[in-house]
Amino acid sequence: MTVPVTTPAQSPRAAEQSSALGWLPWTFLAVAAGLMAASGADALSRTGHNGGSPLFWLALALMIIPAAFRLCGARARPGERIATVVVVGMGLYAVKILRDPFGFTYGDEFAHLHNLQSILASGRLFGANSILPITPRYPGLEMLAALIARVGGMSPFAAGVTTVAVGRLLIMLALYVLYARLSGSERAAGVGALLYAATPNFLFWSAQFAYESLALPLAVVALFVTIRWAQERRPGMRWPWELAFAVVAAAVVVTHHVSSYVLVAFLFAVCLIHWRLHGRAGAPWLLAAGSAVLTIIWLALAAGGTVGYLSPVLTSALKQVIQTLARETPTRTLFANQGGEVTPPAEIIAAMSGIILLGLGLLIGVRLVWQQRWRNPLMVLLVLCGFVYIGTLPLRFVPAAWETVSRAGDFLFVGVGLTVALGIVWMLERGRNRHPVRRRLGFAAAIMIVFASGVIAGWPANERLAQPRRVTVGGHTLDPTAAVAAQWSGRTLGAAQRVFAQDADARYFLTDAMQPSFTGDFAPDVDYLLNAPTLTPGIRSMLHGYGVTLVVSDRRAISSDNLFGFFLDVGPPSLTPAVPALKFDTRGANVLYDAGDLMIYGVRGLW
Amino acid sequence: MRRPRTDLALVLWLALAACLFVALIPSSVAVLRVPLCLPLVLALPGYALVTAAFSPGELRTAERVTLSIAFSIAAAMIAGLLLELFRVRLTTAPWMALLTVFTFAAAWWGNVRGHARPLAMRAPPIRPAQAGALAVALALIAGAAVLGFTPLAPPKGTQGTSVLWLVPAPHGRNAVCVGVINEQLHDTSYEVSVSVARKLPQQFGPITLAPGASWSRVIPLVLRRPLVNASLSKTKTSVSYRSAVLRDWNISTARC
Repeated sequence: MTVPVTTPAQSPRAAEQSSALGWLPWTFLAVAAGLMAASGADALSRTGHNGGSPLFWLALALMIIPAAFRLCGARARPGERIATVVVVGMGLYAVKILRDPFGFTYGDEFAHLHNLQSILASGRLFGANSILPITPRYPGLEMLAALIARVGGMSPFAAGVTTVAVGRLLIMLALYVLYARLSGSERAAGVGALLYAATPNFLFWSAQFAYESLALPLAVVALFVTIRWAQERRPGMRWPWELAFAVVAAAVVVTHHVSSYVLVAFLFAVCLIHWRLHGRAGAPWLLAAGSAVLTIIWLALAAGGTVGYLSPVLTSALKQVIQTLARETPTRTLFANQGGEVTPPAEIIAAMSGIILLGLGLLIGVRLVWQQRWRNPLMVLLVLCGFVYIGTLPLRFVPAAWETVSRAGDFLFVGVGLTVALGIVWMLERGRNRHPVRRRLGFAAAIMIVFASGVIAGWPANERLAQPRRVTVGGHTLDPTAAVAAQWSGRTLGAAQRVFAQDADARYFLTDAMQPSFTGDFAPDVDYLLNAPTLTPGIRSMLHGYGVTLVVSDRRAISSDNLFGFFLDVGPPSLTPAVPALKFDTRGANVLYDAGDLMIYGVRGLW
Repeated sequence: MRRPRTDLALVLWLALAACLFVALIPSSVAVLRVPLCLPLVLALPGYALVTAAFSPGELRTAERVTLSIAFSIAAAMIAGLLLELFRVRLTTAPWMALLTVFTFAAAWWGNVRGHARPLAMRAPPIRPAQAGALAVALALIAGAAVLGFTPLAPPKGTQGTSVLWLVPAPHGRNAVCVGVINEQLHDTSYEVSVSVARKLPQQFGPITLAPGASWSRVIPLVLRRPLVNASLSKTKTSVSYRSAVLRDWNISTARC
């Protein structure tokens, strides 16, 4: 699987001219200025002022354009290139931290935070999680966070943020070394790793405290180990790489189900392509089989419920794709979030331009790979991933498939990054003597547009900036109603309660009260229970069945929103009818907590 | 004390030092523990294993760093799983001990294989302009962090609320606890009324609370597990607008 090195390294004269750090201090300064702008944009948003959005885009431009300009050049040394990629990756991660500086605010983060709290409190793995029951069966992320919390003396939130920061550092490094080994070009490696930041989920979703944020970087390391294993030609010297692969693959397997399955599938695909191109011998069968065995062992011993957890999601996505093709179900509206807020026209234009540029880059990269490198199985597979990524974009019209496609994009973009980077480097080298600065500026601008396109596609416009999660009034701090209720419940009633609540409230009760909390419309159907106008025998039976002692009734419509439900209410909240809430104020039940729209009922007496 | 001459010797020193710091520095002093102790979690075990497994010239620096971090993460996970397997609680001491043993074993193996590399610390030369740029960058990052991590004034129109709560007193005492939390954006005066078994209510107040402040009382009862009603009104209006009811005493309370 060795790849010929075709891209020239920098000339000795150029290397002499550049200092050891090169432009790194200036790139670092630009990223820092971007962070200051991002912090200012969040501050404007948190205090209800306009002007945050232009500042947000300025922040991203400051982080991406100077780095892209430098990485597109031929003079930077490998050390400067990799440091630039890492600085940008960490800077973009800091944008997410500045958005949520006081606590986690993504739905899945609460579930993982609960697992972490559980490990810290009990010293045991595989605890229970009432909101995402499968997550404790993959404790890799929380184990690392727990160790960081214990050793560093940090809060669970700080430990979680640090853990994902380590994951972010690792993926930037891993992409660089993988691309460098595959392409033989440090320039393509730097541009490719930077381009990966254009994955729609990179800025926000993949920066959350959730298992994929650590598993994907480890999986990329596993791919790097695979390519090094394949490049090792000395007889009997492959065992260190096999050992390395086993260690890293084991970490992937205990961290995230989908990442481990993708890794297994990817390696078997590499084997099959190798078989087709070069014959059966020499393919990484051992690594593929080893990762499959580890995955199956984990599935059998610790995570048996994974199939039942994943199959409804995939089945539903597949079913809706077929129904959409048959025009039996309406398509999803692009560039509009759940609340119906539409993306500004300028952003739509930028998003479409980014996709077109990405497609062009992909075509040029494929052409190059076709001409020069097509017999390398891993390279062929990564190029195919690029095509599949573009091919899956129309599936974003299908409501049930949208999320699956969006998450698959994180894996497929590993191929897009390298292929497009090869195309860019080829174009840069093709006309290297004609207006080199202007050409590099053009490519830096194009990379910024592709990156902006990813940000626009990945996260709705009104959710990119910080919301008021914690405010200060006259020297006193105030938290959202649901957080205050959960903290009161945990402090006053203790952890021996079981709670039914709306989506956002249930997450606060799970982490801030440490009380098992149930939500949603399936097993149990808490939404039905909360919205039913009267107290039926079926509802009493459901309460009994789940041993529920508290029902949190929240009339604020926002409490069922997993994106916006974690913040203070600005303006009068939209309310649901009062009747369903009042049904619990009946004989045998207690009204323990009255915050107006949010009530906590003690329902043990209703069983 | 002799200065370590190879990278693996330095790894051993750092691992020992990290163990010592974990034992000596209280966990509340995160400012010291993070830089001094976290390398044992995030870098040293992996570096020792990478050095043991691969000969000195086999990896580029970036590859060595990448694998060191990945192996360290994996080592932390494998150590955690081993502790769980042997029913040992995942606390600091056993976890750190296991990682230290692992680091020592890998470093010993690396030494045996002759993979230790002489230490050659060279700081890259920095020009004054570059140093200035780095200093300004650090100042900007500090500014961004201070602004980002400071709670700011609420947006215009932010909704506050007031909370009334009522629970049985803990430990089986024949009493109830009643409380108020002021989540309004200004100081607010409240009056609380508590009636037991529909008898003449007890009045509390005016209670003036700052934003985020709370008030609570334990009210002893004469009757055994009676019906208790509580209501909350603002002193200005005297109109009851929050109410709580205790009908069923079969609920556990941790504290008031």
